[in-house]
Amino acid sequence: MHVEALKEKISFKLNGKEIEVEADPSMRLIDFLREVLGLTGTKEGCGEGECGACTVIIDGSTANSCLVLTSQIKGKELYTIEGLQKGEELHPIQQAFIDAGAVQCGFCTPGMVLSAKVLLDKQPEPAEGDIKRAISGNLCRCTGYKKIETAIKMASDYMKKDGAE
Amino acid sequence: MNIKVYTPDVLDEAVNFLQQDGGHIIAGGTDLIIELRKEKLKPEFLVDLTFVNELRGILVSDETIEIGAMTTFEDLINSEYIKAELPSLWECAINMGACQIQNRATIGGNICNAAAAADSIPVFMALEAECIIAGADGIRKMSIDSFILGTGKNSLQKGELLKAVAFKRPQKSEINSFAKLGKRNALAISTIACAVRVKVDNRIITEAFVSTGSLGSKAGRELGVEVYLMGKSITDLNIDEAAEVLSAEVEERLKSRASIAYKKHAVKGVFKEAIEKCIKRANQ
Repeated sequence: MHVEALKEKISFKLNGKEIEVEADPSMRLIDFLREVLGLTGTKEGCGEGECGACTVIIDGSTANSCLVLTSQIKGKELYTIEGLQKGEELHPIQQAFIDAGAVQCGFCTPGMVLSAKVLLDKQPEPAEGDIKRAISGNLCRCTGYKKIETAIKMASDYMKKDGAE
Repeated sequence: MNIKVYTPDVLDEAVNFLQQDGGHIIAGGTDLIIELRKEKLKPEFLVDLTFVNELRGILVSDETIEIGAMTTFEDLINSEYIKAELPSLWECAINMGACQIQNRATIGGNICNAAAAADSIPVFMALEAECIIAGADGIRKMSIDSFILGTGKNSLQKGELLKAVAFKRPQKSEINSFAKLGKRNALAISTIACAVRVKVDNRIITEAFVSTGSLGSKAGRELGVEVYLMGKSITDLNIDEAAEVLSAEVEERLKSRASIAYKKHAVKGVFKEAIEKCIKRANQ
C-alpha cells in the first residue's frame, strides 16, 4: 500500500537565513538536513545519540540531530557546519582544526567543530576541563582527542585576535 | 517516519489532542525517537510539547519548587538556585548524558519514560516530590513513588500528560546530595545512583531520605538505612556501618539477580560518596 507522505510547511532560520520548506514533521532532523536540504556536512554515526557526529546547534545549544524531529525546529535558529564559513574564509575554529592537525578521517570533525563553537561562544577562554566537558558527547576514534583539545585552545586565541582587530 | 505530528502551543490544546486514540507524547525525544525508529512504538500520531511554553521553567516560591515537565537538564544546570540549594538535582543533571543530551532531554521525559536507570527519579523521590498531572478533567496530583509503576511504566491514563513535578522548598536545616556510578564519566547510563537528603538539628539527623536507582525495576526509597541514620550525629556518623545496612537491604531485595554480587558492594561506594558530600556540606 502506498501511503501519501504527510507533509507540512516548516519555517525556521538555517545558517542565518529564514527558510520555509515542505517536509514530513516526523522526519529526523538529520534526514531532513541531508536528504531534503542536501546539507551532507552533518554526519550520521550511531543514530542513537552516543557519538555526536550529527551535532548541530539549535538556539545556541548543541543537539544530536538524529534525536530531534523536524517538527521540533519550527521557528528555531539552527546552525550546521555549512553555516560557519564566510565565503571562502574558514571559521577560526575550522582553521585551528587544520593548523593543529586535529582532523584525521574527518567524520567526527563537523560535530566537534560545532560543539567547540557553542563552548567558545559562551566561554571565550575555556579551561581544559571545560573543553573536555564540551566535547564529551563527540566521539573520535582516530586522534585520541589531544589534538582536538589543542585545536580548541588555538581557536580561542584566533577568535580573541579576530575580536581585537 | 510518516507520523502525524501535532505541535500545540498551550496546555489545553495538548490535552485535547491526547483525547484521541493512538497518540503518543514527544517531549525532548532523546529516548522516544530511538524507540520509534526501531518500531518498538508505532503511534498513529505524536503530540510534540516543544512549543508549550507553560510546561518549561523552574518556579521557586516561598514554600514550594515547581519544575515544568519540559524543563531540560540544561535549564537545571544553568539555574543558580538549583546549583546553590539543590545540589542533588544539579549534580544529577550535569552527570546525565553529554551536553547534546542535556540540552534536549527533559525532566518530564526522564520521569515518564521510567527507565530503571533514570537519574532524576531517585532525586525527586528523596525530595518527596509530587507529580502534577493534567487531563481533560483538570489537574490531579500523586507522589512520584506511586506515579512510577515499574520499568517503562507510569500512572498516566489515556488523555493525560505530566505537567510538572513539585516539592517543598528545602529548608535551611536540610542538606542534599547525589552520586552515581557509570561505566565512564560522559554519556554512561548509571549502573547505580543514590540521592540523599537529611534534615539536621544541632548536628543530629532528624529525618533522612535515601533513594537509589538501577537497583530494581524502579527507583525507590531505602527505608532501612533511613531509619539507621535518624538520631545519629552527622559529624560522627559511622559511614561504613550505614553503608552495610543499605547493602544488606539491597542484597535481600535483589538476591535472585546475577548482578547482585557486584551491586551489593558497589552500592556502598555510591552511598558513601553521597553521604560524604552531605557531611561536607553540613560542615560548611
